[in-house]
Amino acid sequence: MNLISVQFLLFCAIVVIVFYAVPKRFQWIVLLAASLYFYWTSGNRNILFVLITSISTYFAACGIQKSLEYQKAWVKEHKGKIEKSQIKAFKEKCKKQQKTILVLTLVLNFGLLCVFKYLHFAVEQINQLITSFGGATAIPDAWSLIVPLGISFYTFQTMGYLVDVYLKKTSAETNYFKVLLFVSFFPQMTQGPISNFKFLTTELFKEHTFTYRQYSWGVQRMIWGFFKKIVIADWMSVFVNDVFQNYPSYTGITTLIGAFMYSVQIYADFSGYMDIVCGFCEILGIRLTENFNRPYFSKSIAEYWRRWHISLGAWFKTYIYYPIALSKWNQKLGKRLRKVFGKKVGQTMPASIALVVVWLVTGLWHGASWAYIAWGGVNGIFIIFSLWMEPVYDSWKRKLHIKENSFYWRAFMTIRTFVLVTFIKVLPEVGSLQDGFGLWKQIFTNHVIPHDLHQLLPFAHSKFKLLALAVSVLLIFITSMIQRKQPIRQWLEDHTHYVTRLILFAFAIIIIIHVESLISDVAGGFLYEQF
Amino acid sequence: MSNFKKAILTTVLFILVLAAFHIPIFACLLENENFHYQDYREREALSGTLDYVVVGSSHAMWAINPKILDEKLGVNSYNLSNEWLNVKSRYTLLEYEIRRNPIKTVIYEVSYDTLRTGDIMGDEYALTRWSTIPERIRFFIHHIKPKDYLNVYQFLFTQGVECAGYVLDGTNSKTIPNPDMYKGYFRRLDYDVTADYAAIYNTDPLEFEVVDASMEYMQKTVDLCKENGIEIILVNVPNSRAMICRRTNLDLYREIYQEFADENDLIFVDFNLLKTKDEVFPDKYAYFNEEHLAGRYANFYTAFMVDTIARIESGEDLSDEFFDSYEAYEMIQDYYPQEKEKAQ
Repeated sequence: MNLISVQFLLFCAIVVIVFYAVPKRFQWIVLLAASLYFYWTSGNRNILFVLITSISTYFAACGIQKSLEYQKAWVKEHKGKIEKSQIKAFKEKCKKQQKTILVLTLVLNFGLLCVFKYLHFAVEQINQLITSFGGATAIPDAWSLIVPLGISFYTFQTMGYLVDVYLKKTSAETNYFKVLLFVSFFPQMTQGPISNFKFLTTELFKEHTFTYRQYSWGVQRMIWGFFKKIVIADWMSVFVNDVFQNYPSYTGITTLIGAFMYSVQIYADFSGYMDIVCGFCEILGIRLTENFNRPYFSKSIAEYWRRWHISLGAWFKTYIYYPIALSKWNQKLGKRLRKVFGKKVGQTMPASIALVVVWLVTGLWHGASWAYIAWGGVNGIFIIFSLWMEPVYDSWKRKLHIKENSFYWRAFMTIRTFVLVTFIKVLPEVGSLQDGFGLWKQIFTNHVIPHDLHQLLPFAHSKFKLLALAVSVLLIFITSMIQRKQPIRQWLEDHTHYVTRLILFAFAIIIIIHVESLISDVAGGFLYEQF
Repeated sequence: MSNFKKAILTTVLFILVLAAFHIPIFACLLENENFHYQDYREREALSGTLDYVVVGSSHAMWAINPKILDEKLGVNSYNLSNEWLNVKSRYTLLEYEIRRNPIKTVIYEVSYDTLRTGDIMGDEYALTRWSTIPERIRFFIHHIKPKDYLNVYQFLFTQGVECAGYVLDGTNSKTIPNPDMYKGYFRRLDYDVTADYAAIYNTDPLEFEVVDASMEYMQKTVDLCKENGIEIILVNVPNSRAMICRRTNLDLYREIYQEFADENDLIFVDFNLLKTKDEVFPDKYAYFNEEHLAGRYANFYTAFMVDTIARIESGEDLSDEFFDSYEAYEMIQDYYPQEKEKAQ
């Protein structure tokens, strides 16, 4: 079921009505039924993989929990009665058991994810390697599989839960159907956010009372999300696709503008999706993790990734970065390096190693191609480079008397980061890695100055459409600026009349419906659904 | 007020505000429907007097001028055609007019797209052919499927905005009659559609397709006419040499129409196969685009069509004046591959 469809809206309306009509203790069951129905309509096989993940996770979590409880009880019973070494041995035995359960379940679920997302890529690379060495045989390349809906998102979310149970950060859920709901909660399945178990289940399983504000704010947010997706993202994609497909015939400036447009497009697309699902959940009284915090106002790449796709970054930080950075071998390495090269190197190297892994995995998560791996690598290089150069930058700023809080410095850093982020973003989006570098080359080497608007923006056949798009983008910018101080919906309540808001949103809906008809031959799914 | 009541009240008010946005737009649409070249009020005024009707798609709408029909035949004719009008909608429109007019003759235009035209195409235009709201609603319910409601709504809204523009600048049909329109016919300007025929030969192949409802409703149309003692004549109006050169499978459609005409004992004239078509309707002057006749030649064609039909009805054998098939027509063209090889 496409989120941009009348069917989805009807589905949401029915879910909301039934949700509030049933006794509060059954509300989560309504969500579960709705989620399973959502999966069912998206293709029967999708439910199968959700069930595999939920069942394996449920039993693994319960198994680990039981082992932990047994361990605790046994230690309590035998403390003081037997040798400490025996207690330690028993604990280690239990730990090994828990680890085995964890590892097997992780292998199963990540294995499934890898098979669907990466097997084809792996086979392709092996075949290329074999043939490059003059090999006669190659593995049959019939491994292009359709990726089950949402598998990237729910696998990460669920495995995070399992690791939390193992690390005793949370207790295992004993009701399988609640685990199933956690895995399959439909608003977040196709594009996230990836939620923490404690946080999400608190929201899902508490009793929800209908309030007018939740309803009103939720609907407003959904309308805003549709506006961003349909009016801005889909419309802009017409221009962006033209540039990406034909960049060799465009000037450097035009190509650069196309790249910037892509940055706006993907933000509007992804954050638009988030607004739709968060708005819908808000109507139900369910808070979801926010995934965006005005990312294009960031002053560094590192800050950008703390503001863009926040839940994914948090997941990688919790489950990959910290375990590697704080691992014993990495800490030992850090200590040795500190002795030899000093404190800075001793601190930064372990972090850098962890970041290399994080960014390669992030690149792979986004797509099974060298372009995405390179994209992840480039992001990592920039962040690691900044880490190492921090003392140098600080000394330059002191010498040049640059005040970090000054408006001009902040503006410079924001624009610089936006440009850098844009260049990195387009690398995997043009097609292949070669095309990505080709686009960069076009921007830097084609110095033809366009003489008029038509030459500058040859892909824009209508000045009116360009203007309308520019106004829409300006609207996002203004909204973002207002949201520095307070939520935009609060601002609207404080500064506009009730009737004005009704008119505003009615106007937005009319624009949304009719813009869609203008670009209906290009409007497709959400960009992040492909991940 | 409880949260729930407030939410319902807000939702209702929101819907009313949305409706308020639409009322002026649709009011302009209903009052000033000179868009798509037909004004239902004109047909309403002629109701009860029409005895000769043309029905078809845009090919007929722009090629057959009721003024010429009226002058040559002494009839009171009307062109019911509009763009993409599918067979089912043609039947509905015709049936409506037969009920309220003493129609004696129907010119039924057929072409390669008549049988291919699916449910929705053309129906959104045909929605505006009706005089009253209940008639429109009835047509909407019988012809528009739920999956197409959004498309139709978007179309009507866009047309309404256009009509609102006409109202605002004073050029709507109520204030200024459109000189290019006459009883459902719309006159088009001519453009040179001459092409590099060798280069475009068969470059736009037509996938052969017949929508199920098309044959069913074509038969129903013929039966309806026969029941009411109305003569129905099938015609394919001239298309440019460029169009015939570009397309394929035209004979497949022609054969269907010929077979249908033979089974129902109807006259069928495919004017594309007129041996002198390209001299009489040259690509340089006769067409608005490759598939539609332009104003000057539309008048000539209308007269020519009337004369040709009269000759056939009088028993004259015109087989020497027409090719048997599109293949026969193309075989003598200089762009046809066999001829090119011979010339080399």
